[in-house]
Amino acid sequence: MKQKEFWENFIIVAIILVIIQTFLYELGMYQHWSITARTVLIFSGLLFDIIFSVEFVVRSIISARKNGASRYWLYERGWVDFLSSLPLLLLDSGPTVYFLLAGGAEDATQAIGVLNILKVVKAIRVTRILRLVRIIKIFGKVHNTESRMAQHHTATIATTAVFTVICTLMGFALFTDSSGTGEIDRRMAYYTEFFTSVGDMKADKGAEDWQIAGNILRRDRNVLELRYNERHLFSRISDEKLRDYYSPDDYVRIQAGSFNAMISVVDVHQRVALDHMKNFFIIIFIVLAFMLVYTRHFAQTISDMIHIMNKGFRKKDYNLQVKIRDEYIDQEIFKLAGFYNNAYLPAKLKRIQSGEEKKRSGLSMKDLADFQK
Amino acid sequence: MLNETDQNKVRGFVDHLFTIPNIKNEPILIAESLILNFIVQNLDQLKATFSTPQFFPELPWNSVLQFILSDIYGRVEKEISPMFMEYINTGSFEAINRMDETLAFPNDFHREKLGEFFLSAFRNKDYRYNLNSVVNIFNHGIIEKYITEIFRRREFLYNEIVRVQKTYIECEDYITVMKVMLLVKNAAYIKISFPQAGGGRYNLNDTLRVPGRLPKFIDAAVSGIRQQAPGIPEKCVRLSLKANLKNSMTELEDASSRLIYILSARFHNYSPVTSVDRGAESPDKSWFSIARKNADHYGFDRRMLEALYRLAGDNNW
Repeated sequence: MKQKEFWENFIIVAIILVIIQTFLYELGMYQHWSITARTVLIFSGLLFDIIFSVEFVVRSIISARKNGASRYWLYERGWVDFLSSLPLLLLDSGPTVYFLLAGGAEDATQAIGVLNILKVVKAIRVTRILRLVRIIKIFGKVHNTESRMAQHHTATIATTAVFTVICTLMGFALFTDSSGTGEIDRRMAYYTEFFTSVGDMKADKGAEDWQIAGNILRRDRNVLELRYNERHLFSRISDEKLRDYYSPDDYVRIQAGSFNAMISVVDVHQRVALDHMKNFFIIIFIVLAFMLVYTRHFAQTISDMIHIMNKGFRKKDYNLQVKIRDEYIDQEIFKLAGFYNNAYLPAKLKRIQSGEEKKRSGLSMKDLADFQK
Repeated sequence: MLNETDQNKVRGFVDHLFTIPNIKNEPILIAESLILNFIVQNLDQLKATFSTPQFFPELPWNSVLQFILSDIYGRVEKEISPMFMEYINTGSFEAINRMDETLAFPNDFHREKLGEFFLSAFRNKDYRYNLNSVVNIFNHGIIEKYITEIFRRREFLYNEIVRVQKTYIECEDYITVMKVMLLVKNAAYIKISFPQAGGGRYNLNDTLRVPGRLPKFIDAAVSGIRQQAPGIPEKCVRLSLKANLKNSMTELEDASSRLIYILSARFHNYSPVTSVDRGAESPDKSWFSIARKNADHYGFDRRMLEALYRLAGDNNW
């Protein structure tokens, strides 16, 4: 029992940490943190995905042995555990770490390839936020430990709402350029076209094409470095900064004619990260709203009534009436509570006071039998 | 007479009675009445049982029974009596003089006579019958709480107990009067003889079985009580005794009797609720609301219940 409690608490802590990790990951992208910091976040993401995948597999096996897997899958939200574990491990954090360990995609072609592979994966990454649904279990316990019904219904409706939002986001991710790859493609095409057209400008301007390109692109913040054959025209950032802050994913290299340019795509990643953070907060606030507002509403209008009536039905000495607010008086549960207040309790007290109960609670000769035993 | 060893043995038996599961969780006065009922109903069987080796084969039955009853009373007296006596010995009772302008007894006199009356009445098991509500009302400051609020609101209940009843005294004095009434109330269950009773001894329950005898019984009981406690005005004693009657048996001006009748029923089986479940009405409000539905059955004054229901609800009692 203690071991089970330990693992449940471990998972709760992991859920809280993974929410923080998810946010920090996007924040790190948006604020363009150092490569080291972002790498730590990538590896921690992998670690959490492994933890949740193991949790899902273990729970599936245990449930299959106890009650059948379908119960866990359908009624205990095993499908949520599944969506927030294995797909992420196999399609998101796993491949990301693999490419990171494999030395990264150094050249532009490779980078594009990797980005293409990850295009679908990045859309699915939105499902990471489904882990937030598990928080409801924690808050449910704090709000009303006796009402499993309130916990269950709040969790169900919160899961439905969150999952609907996530499906919508995933739909958009699949059919729009939510991961920024299209924008990067367009940017590469633009600069390739630019370097091609510089040759045409050469005759008009009376200057060398590398001079024209250098003069124009020196003011372009996206161009980090420009080379012309072996000639180094300019670098916008130092080698140290490039090493510490620019991973191969943060720029693309364009080879067009004699030009070789390093083009930053950090701003594209920042836009994508901002979108992700926006989605993250939408879901966080949806879950919080359900936990704080709807759970309370559910308790006040459903589970508290049932809790009180249940106690009144079962306990002889419990005779408190259900509080009925006028605005809800026409609802079924309050009609039932009205019957409980106005018919059941008066009849119950009459029965108790009529002495039937007293007779039962009195003494009998049997009670004397164990004297001096 | 039983010797010390025998007494200890019988005491052990009484200890055993008070630790039986159905008894040990009850207030001592209710436990006492359950045990006494049991003894009365099973007298023959008990006599036979007590002569078995497991019990007291060597002791005379009458002595054992006498000692058991006396030991039970001793326990009840030790637990209940000090609380009332402390109230009587420290209370200020000049207020009850204000119910009757012809009375002007000093406080010491009231204390002395009230104390004598209570100790004498308390020895009678019929007086102790239903006294649990009075114990609860005293212990939990119910009269102070309700009378103060009734006087603060000055609504229906105030009109009833002050104007209709024509008892024009201040709030603090009314609290004293009500508490004295509670002390006197149960004297109605002590059997008394009176001229119309044909030589027999009757209490209120006996009297109610014979139509038309109630007024004579009340008169006789008032007279008897006032002989013991002459400081208590006749009106106060009469109202006290009527506090055991259903609404339909009281007069319009017996408002405080009807109020005490309701409060006694409310606090007979009472244990304070430390925390009310979320979504539940407060304990007193719930009780008064339920009592409204059973008002005719139990003889409660429905209008008073309505007023008490609102009062308890407004104060979250």
